[in-house]
Amino acid sequence: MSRRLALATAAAGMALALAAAASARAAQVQIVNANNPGEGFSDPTPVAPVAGNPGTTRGEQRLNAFAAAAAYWANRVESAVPIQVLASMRPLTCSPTSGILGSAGPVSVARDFGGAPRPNTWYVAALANAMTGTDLHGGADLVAHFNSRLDSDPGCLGGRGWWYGVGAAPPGNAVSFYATVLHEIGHGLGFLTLVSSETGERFEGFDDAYMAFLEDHSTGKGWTAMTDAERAASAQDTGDLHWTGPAVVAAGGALQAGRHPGGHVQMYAPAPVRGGSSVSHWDTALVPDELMEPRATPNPVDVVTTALLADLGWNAQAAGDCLRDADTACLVGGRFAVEVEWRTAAEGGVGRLMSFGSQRAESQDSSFWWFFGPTNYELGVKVLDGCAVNGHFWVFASGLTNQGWTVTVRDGRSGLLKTYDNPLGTLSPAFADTRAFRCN
Amino acid sequence: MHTLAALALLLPALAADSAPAREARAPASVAICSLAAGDCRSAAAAELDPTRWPAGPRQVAYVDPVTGAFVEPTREQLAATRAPLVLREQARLRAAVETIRFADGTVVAVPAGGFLVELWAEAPAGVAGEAQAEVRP
Repeated sequence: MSRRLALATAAAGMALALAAAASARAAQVQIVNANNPGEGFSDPTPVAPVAGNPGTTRGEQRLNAFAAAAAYWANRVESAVPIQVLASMRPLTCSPTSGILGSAGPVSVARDFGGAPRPNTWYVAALANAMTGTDLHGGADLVAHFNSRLDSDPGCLGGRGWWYGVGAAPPGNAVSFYATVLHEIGHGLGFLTLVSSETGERFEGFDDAYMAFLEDHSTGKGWTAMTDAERAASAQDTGDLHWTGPAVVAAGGALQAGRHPGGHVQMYAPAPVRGGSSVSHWDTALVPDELMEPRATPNPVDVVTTALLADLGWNAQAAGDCLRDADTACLVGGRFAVEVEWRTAAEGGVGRLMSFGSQRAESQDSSFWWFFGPTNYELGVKVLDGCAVNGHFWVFASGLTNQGWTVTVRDGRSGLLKTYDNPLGTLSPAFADTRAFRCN
Repeated sequence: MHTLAALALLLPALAADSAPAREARAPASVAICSLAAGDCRSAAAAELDPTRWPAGPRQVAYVDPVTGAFVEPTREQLAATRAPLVLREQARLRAAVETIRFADGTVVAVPAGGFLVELWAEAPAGVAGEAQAEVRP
């Protein structure tokens, strides 16, 4: 079965059976298509499939890309209450040089519910529901509208359309719908402050969960201890506004810039202030570029973004943590995800982890794989911690096959991904990449 | 019918499919529901999340938006299609806020239209009608 499941063909029962190897964190994200038949997410216009998106109508491609973004978050946060996103595509403001790509955000917020970590503090609806295990308000938790004119109006943004590919960087200057939705759902899950960055005023006179982890290094004050005027000034204190939450501090070691030596991570605080962008994003100084920065970057990573959600109170899985299943090995404490694809002249497929007896053939650092039958060993892959030797993790592989294969190793800490190929018809050599991934 | 109101009507019908007990943790999933059709279908999130896919080689092709034919773009066209969009977000002003107070002390606030943030893009003019890039796996 293709790993790139076409959602359009997935029946409900089948889909749940596919996920028998449940991840450690899980939520269901419900996308509620608010468009009428024939428009928006139901647009029947025929289109050619694009990277990672097999949809053959514009509506299908839009939903597939939206679903992929929703899946990203469903895999990383836990909630017994479905997270409901009311979604539509509709004509919004657009000119040749300027236009709204979309608008999105949480529908409601709640405070002082049973089990709330902080009293008198607003939490976005989806998070409050997750914490209480009940749907506090009912209805949608997030709302998201996107501009259909990018596809239908050649005068909109110079004729750039949405690009509905998934799992690849968009070509040229195309606008990635997947990346846009991913970012906007992040805000809806709580990656935003309700404080006015212009005036410093709190929403309805109460703190929000986000501001509890904001600190201005030039004054040493946290946002909850500031006056409105101090918060407004802090929102423009470029380079000095930081996130202090423990999960971000713990996860941020892979950042090469934008992180204070003490572990605090810079937030976006340009002067003058920029409406909905200031404070509610990571600083653009972060290297590598992070998912929730206030600009489109080709290959953003999630080193600290999911960790920020954990600081807010989500039971959240660090984005890079490996999700172990029948065709994914999680090595070195789960930091590295290993997957294998194989191909013959006639067919191809996904490598599967072997079992010896009933024991999964996977240890702390090694994994054994089969292609054609569960007793037929084809390939071994291991990742070793060579940090004390040369500051890198090492990747080794060797096979007993002349079929083509591709090994993919993903470093959950940095988000970096490496692939190793063996051409079809070549007996696999053993190889060693002793500079595969930097330790820090 | 207002979409939020319509959603409230639809959601009870989804409840049996979507409210697993906390102890019996369900796998991550995505459900797509249609207000117009009143139904849902779901898929495992692990299969949809592209960060879980192996990387593979990809080829970039350029398609003439008028004829649909594959074309070899000029250097100028390539430069034009790579001109970056500048993004900015703008919080939409919140007007009326509905506040609901529950007996247990919970307070829920629902601003009209939600906490919407508009994502704006600004583009240099002059690329309309030029080759659009497309990535094929």
